[in-house]
Amino acid sequence: MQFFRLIVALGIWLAVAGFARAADNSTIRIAFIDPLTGPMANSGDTGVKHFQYFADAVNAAGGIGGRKLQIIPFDSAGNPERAKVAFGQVADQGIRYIVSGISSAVSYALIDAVGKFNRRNPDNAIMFLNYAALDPGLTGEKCSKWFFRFAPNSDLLTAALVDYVAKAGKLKTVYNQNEDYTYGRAVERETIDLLKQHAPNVKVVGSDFVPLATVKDFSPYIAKVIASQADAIFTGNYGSDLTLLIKAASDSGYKGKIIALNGMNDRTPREIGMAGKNMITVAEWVPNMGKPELASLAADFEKQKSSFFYYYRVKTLITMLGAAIARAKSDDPRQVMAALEGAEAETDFGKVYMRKTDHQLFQPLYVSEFTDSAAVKVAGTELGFVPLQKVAAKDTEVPSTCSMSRD
Amino acid sequence: MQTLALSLLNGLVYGLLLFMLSSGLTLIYSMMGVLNFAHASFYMLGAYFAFEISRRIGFYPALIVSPLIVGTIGALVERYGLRRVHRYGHVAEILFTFGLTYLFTEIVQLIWGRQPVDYHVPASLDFPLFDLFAAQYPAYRVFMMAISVGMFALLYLLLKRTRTGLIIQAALTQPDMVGMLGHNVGRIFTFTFGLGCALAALAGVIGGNTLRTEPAMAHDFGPIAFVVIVLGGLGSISGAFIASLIVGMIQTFSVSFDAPLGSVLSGLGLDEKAIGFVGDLARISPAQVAPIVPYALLVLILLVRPRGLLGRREI
Repeated sequence: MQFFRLIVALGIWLAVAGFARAADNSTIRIAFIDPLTGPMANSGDTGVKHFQYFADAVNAAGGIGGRKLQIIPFDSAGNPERAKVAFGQVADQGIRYIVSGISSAVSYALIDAVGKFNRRNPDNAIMFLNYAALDPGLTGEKCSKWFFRFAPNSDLLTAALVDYVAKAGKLKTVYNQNEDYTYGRAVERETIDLLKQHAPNVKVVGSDFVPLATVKDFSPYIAKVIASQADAIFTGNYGSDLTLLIKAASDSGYKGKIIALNGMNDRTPREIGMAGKNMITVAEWVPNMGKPELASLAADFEKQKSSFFYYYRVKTLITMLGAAIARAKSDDPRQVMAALEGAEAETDFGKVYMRKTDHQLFQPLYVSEFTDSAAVKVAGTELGFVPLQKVAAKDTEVPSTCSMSRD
Repeated sequence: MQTLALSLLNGLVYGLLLFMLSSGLTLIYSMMGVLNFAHASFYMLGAYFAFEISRRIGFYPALIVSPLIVGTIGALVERYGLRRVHRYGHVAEILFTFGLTYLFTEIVQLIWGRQPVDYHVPASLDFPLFDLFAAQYPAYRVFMMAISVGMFALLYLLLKRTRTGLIIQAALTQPDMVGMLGHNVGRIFTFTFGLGCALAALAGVIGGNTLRTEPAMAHDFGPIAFVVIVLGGLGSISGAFIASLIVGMIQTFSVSFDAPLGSVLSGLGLDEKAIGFVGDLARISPAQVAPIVPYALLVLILLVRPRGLLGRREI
């Protein structure tokens, strides 16, 4: 009897699941694969809110040629293995687009999984759009025709910051502080190389690597920096590794500058508060631009989603994807891919383009300072980001190292 | 010299914080033979309550109230949870506390969300206390030291010099006899468990604002607390104190000590390029391996001296 019930229940479940799948063919489904549980859950939480916000905006304006966008979250727990399991579910449900960004390690795993799946199922190919992974290798030696990156990779961010250091000309010595995995190593290498090329009088006096999200007390690292008398700390750290580093620097009375690739990320500005005063950072946008529509966008996002507005690039991603689908007159990734390659778009900050050779988006970058002279402040702090320097999309371009297989 | 002095102070603060976290764990173990996996969750609860209380009535009341609330929760967990599970043996107890860690993390996420909360150092303690060569030393860190040393002294006095401590110690080895003498052994257990949880909460109150108050904090601090109590000897408060300081010092000093292993080898007349694979290992600096050193120590101590530094029983 029990067994019979089980069979019936299973049957109903399968029928419902199948029904749900077949329902509403006109919706364009996008799978969001990022950590929704575990230690990195807060990053994934911020990400999914951005996607839902901008998808809602597109839907409210009539969708893409009348078709609605739907964001379906899947949990990667920040772990490549779990991300592959999630990818399996995505493929089973017949979803043709995935977005992901938290941790380059997860993105590497997903690129592999997407490549394998598409070779076996060429008619149901899946496209992977990335909004946050920074490792240059994703659009470098590991590049794939199914993979498009809308985040400026760490080489572009580092280049913009080094450009600022060279032009400002105040710093004599810097200390590198990075996370000990492919991404952190890439940032360190690139910082040293670019400083040598563009600011040869700036000396790197030290380098430290910390394991990702493990160190709780950064004061010993800061003690080393102070002992080295470095004028600035140049860091690719993010999340807790960045906030704890900055808090420790402020607690120890470190007088130099903090130059951080990810200083605007997520909740970092709120968490560091006054400890982060005069931090230099870089991103594809900056709040204090005298653009009221942007301020109201950020305010509206924060009100609706009770989360800090940060990923402007998600707007660019959704806009460009929508435009590509409209141009291709199809939501088949094989045609959308061709339409997205080399595509250009106009954002609130100027022209952006998706480079054909490696599928990296180039967009204007802004070096900014976290200071009390800002008009628009970060909620809960007395500081805001003020632009110091704009680097046009064209000027952020670095040579492509990608040799993409086109078959 | 400057680096040495700073590292000593930093190691001391970190070590003392670890001690506050692990003293309760080792106390509970010595008392009831229960390895409380949920211990770091009580540390997390302490920090979250302190955040909530300090934004309503202030930090100093939170210092008292938060451990009291968490201690009460701990006592309830012991009375209505752990004691029922106790009759099914140690595995059941461990699984029970293990389940609690997930339960507490989820509850905290439901109430306060997944993002870290803005729990800040109180303004009255947020200033540099003294200058140490080129660096400043924050007053709050000295406050942390004072609190944890004070707590160690009180705990030691409570256990060794008071009647309550005497009964607790007696109940540890001879529960039946203590019961015969008219003491309520069950209540002693509940009290001890609550006390242990309150100590963890106190660590959360003073640690949550310098580190981060977020749902992952229990997960981050759980393993290191186990390292400390195993190293110090399960059940030994003094052992936990020494072990915390050792772990704190090792972690800070391996960061400041910058010479890669290779430079030691080349000092011995070996060329690191000539030794191939070993050469790659030799280029790793202690700073990079600093966070895993305590765990290496854990493995080592279990191999060499399984009862820990001051422990009296074998595991």
